[in-house]
Amino acid sequence: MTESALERRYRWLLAWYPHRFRREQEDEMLAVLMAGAAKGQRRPGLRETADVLRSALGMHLSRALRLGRENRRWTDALALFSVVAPVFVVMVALLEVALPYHLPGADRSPFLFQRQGSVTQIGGLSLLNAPFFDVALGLQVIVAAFALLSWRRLTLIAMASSVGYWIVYWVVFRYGISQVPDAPQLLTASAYILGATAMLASPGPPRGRQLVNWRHWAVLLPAAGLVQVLTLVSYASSRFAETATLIRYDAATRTSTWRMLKQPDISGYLVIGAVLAVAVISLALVFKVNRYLLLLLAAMFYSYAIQLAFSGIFRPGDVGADLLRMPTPGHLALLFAPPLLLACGGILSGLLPPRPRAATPPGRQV
Amino acid sequence: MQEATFLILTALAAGSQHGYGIITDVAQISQGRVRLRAGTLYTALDRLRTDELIVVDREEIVENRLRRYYRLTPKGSDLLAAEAARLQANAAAALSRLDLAGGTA
Repeated sequence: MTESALERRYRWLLAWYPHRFRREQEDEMLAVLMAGAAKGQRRPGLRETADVLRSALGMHLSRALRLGRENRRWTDALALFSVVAPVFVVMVALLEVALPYHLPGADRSPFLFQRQGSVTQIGGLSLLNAPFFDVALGLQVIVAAFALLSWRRLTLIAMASSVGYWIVYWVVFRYGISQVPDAPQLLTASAYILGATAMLASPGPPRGRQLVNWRHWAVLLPAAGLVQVLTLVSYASSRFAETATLIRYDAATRTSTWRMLKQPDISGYLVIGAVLAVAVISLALVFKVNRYLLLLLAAMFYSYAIQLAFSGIFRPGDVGADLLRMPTPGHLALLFAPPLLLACGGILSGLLPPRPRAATPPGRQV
Repeated sequence: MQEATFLILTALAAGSQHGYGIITDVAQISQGRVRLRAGTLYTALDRLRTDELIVVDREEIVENRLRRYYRLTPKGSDLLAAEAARLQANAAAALSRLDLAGGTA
């Protein structure tokens, strides 16, 4: 029997369904569609097409969410992430305090901020004296402590407070000089978005505490170091660094002097960064870290990596140089859409009630 | 329970039916008000099978086309009965109050 044009078009529509559904029910559904077609009909109607496509999309979505819900490794990864992400944020912040951004070859770091007659260096212990940083760090420590103590609700509240504080700081002081590079702030934002999701969509820190072990920290510690090195290298090699000026403020005369810095030598940092990157990947592979956890960690790093890439590509003042300085909806979508989509998927999979598996159909058994 | 789901389960209450039979039966039960499309029907059937409210009863080949018949499971019958009783109770309450309102007006 040769296929009619209508049948061929129906089959094209049915190709949008999940593979398993098609294998079991494509012929049956085609028969129903053909039975409902008018005599002489050559193509599917508009409403019929929309109905089939909506149904196919819904089936894809519900199957993906159901798989997520029933996949123990996925829920375990979410639980693990709910513990390790807040601690990782603190690790990065503490390294930021412990390791100032000092560039070899430059007489001082190009990232200097003059405030009330004193020079504050970005990174290093001086950060603790910087306005807002101490409170932000304090909140991050509280979030991590609550997560390690398996207090899920309090962790969520502390996370919301930290994000709220970050937003207020950003909205109020968006035109001031930020002492903390924006990229690590984005890392914190992504960590908390996904961390809160992980707490809502999984057993959360109580289960995460059972699963976490020294191997996870062995992977995350060099990863935190890598964040520091990448931030430094990116800023130092960006066009921002080429035009960076050192501000010297004379409190007596109230005058500032600006001069060009020589381009810092970052080759040593590049080597350190490469070693750390290899260490992170190797340890993750050797320790066989849950691949869903790696996916979540990759999503956490996404907006950080985008920010670094853009600050390296665009000139200072360009719309793309600092995606957070004058953000448009497009900027925010670029920065946060992938982690937010993953977060929505995680929450939906958590909200979906567990369902028993369908009984095997008795048909076509020999 | 959504109306379409209720009507599909109702269509299967009298015995097993194939996909197109369910569509025509639902139209008949709802007096033409609800006209299921194939996509909507198969989304619902997929969900009902997953929830073990219906199962495949048998298959036939008619005019070179596959027909798969579905029937209610005991769990599906119980759920339909409970839902029907709930709707009946609600309807009775509404009618009773309407009668009352009509009587006192």
